[in-house]
Amino acid sequence: MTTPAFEAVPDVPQIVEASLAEPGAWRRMPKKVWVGLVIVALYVLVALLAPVIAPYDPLAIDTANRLASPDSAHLLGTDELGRDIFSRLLYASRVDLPIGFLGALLPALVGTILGAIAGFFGRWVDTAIMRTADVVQAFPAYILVIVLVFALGQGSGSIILAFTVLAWVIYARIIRSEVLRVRDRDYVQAARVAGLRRLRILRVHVFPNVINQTLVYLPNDIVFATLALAAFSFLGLGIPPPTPEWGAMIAEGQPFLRTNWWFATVPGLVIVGLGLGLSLIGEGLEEGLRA
Amino acid sequence: MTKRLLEVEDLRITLQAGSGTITPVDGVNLALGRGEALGIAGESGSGKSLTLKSIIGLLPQGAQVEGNLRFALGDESPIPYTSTDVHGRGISIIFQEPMTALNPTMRVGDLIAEGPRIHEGLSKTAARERAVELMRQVGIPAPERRAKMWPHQLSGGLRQRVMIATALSTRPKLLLCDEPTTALDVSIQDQILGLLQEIRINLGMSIIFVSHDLAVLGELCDRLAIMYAGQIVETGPTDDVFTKPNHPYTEALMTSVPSFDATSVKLAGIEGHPPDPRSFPPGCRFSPRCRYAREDCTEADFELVATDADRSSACIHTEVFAEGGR
Amino acid sequence: MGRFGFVARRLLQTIPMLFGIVLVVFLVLQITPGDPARQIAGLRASEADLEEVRQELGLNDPIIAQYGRYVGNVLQGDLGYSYKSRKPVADIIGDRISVTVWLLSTGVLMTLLISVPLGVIAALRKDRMADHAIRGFGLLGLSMPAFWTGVILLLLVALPTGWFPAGGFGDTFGEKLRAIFLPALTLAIGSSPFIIRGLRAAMISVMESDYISTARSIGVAGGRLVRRFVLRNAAGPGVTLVAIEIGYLLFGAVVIETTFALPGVGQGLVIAAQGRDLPSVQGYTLLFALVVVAVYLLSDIVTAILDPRVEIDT
Repeated sequence: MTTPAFEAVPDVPQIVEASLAEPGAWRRMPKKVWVGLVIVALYVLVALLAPVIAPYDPLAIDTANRLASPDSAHLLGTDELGRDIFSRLLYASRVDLPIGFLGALLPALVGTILGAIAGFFGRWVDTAIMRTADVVQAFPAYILVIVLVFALGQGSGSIILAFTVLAWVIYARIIRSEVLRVRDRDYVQAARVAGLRRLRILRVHVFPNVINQTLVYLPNDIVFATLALAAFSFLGLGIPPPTPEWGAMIAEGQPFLRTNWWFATVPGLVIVGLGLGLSLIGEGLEEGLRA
Repeated sequence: MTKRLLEVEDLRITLQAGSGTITPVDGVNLALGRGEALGIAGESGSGKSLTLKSIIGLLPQGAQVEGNLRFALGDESPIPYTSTDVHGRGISIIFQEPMTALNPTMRVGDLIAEGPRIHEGLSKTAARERAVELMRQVGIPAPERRAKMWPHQLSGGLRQRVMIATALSTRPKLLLCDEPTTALDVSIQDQILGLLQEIRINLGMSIIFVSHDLAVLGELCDRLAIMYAGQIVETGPTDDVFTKPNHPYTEALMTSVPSFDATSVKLAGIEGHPPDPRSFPPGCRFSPRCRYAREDCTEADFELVATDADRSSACIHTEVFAEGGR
Repeated sequence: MGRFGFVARRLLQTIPMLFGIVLVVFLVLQITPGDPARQIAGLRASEADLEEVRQELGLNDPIIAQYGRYVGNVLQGDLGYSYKSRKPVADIIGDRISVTVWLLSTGVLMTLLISVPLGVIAALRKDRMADHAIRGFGLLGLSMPAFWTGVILLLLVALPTGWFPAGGFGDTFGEKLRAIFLPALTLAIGSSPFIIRGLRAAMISVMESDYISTARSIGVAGGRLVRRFVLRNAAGPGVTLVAIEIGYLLFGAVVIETTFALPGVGQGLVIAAQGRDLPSVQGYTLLFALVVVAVYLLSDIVTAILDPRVEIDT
């Protein structure tokens, strides 16, 4: 038994779902979306400007100055090899952000396309795609990522690929059901009668309607992808050294927790900040679009 | 007129919708006598169901209620009350969808026994016996056996009878009916209506029955109130309203044909949809769809005016309308 | 009859699923680069030595035959031998599994202790201060990597108080409990936000349903309403929610065991993966997949017991 969402107010006609394409839709978004966007924009800016802001080369080893405490020369001290932690943190955003974003965008893209195809074309295409989705979903996702990364070898490419293989399913399901809902509406029927080709119908009439659904899930998936990447690197199964990466830096700092506590904790704060920003966007979009 | 049981005065309900608020019920006045059956008719979105739920204090969270509600719990005149005063005591309600209105994880006999256990302090066994008795009273065959069943094991008609038994279990003076026959097959509909009529006469209960189906209301109700866009546009004795409607909307409702999905009606001869509660039209809210509409209809203030001793209408052109237009 | 029939059918459904899992584990690791023979025989082994190892392991057989043999072995509890320690993988897992069982059971218990009260409060106080506060902490919890939470707990709790070991497992019951407390708490902090969020949604959807209106209309209120009408109906979704979390919990065990140097199967998987010890990775993966399947099965059965409708809904 599923309970329709609007059951509580049966007497009120259902208020049409908002769309981001509508004029003024962005103005109706809750404040947290903006707070989140500002936070994420800041991270993106840092990643872009890392070579300009970073005081040191993140890979430059200085054995004379190992495990230094923070001072004016090294804002966050140095690591075991005398590398500047602050500079490494800044440069790490150039690894974590792209992989986190791609690790979520690629599955969303693949899932959206496959879901739309399944929903719009139906029949055996639909069956084939959705059965594959069932199989993928039956597996414990994270464990399968470990296995895939093990099989494909360490590195950003295999991590993104593993995410894509696993995470497209949810998007395919959302989009497919949305397409099925939209497909039989009058204006799509009318477009069909007018002889528009299927692809054009998809592009013009279906995608603008389904894109909102995807947008709600995307920020959360970026968080998951970023956290998973950090976890893999922490375990020594992700981005191989010496490339700076937040999760790997936490692992590097953990042995020195007693003396250099900032070493392992600050990279975590950086991850939490990004995660919060993205979660705020996700939750805000959900409230704004479904209200 | 008989002694009053319930009075609703200038009822206004506001809800949060997205970033704004809407007022789906906007200034409703009702009075109900003891033993009287009142029908409220209107399309979905007219506010009829919210009006009903506000009487028993079961509005969705976040709903704001303004206005005065008065109910006579004893033999005195109606006095202001809160929902806890009438829950399980003076007022009961039955819903449109008996499947969702019955707790799916509770045997139906236990559900019916809840009221007697709480309010009459009956023991488990005594309450169960009372439940079986109530089930027999609402015409459920083999009640002892059925009392042990789950809601999903019963047919739609039996479920609605269980719902009615549950409502009667607290010995209410007023039974609120929120489209209780709409989700049922036509033959079952008639049985349930017959049952409600019988209960009403035997127990001397008052009834408020909400429906979009005027034919259903005609069978059961003494008086009718027609609602449109959150306001009552016409009231009167059922027969009078049927023979000579005093509002164009009533006329449109009467000539309407129920559509197949059963929850909405197609209105014959008028275009468009009920207005969006986010932006009601100015003046008479029906005027954009009214075939008798004049220029001054969009300027008129809404007011329900007595047209007879016991009738009223909100149409400012009743005379014109009465002559058949033009 | 109906509900037992459901359980039996559900059990039967898992069998092809199990074969599928074994197949995927087998295939994924087939595409793994690297020559197993080389790994066993060592870098200096001659081509003849390698060939001998291949013959011995049956690596020259057709892939179907290898799969058949693998399934046969797995059914007998033989998961092969570790490339590194040369010990049977099944034995290695056996040595490590109790630590992980400790971690997961304590972690789940703590998760429930945290999330059931908070989820219920958030639902009952929907859109008020308490709800906003709980959801705010939830967002924070969702953004915190479990290994970092562990590091913070070590820094803020273990180091200053000295009550908890910074790593490793103990021998006596008390030592084990002390060793497992912070890791389990870390696991609970990571998984609670999901459970709280889901429980809140389930409670709200139950509370907004018509049958709650019915209950309230006949005067059922307060604790009686929550006990007899809300909780029983929210329990099913709640159980499913915890079951769905098992994937995260297992991954959490992998990360947290590494953070706290706990010698469980999660740490074992990481060590095996780092050492490119293929039979061990295969064994651990199979174990985790089996746990997930078993937990899903269990949750379906519990849900069926909780929900009288299941017999017709299948």
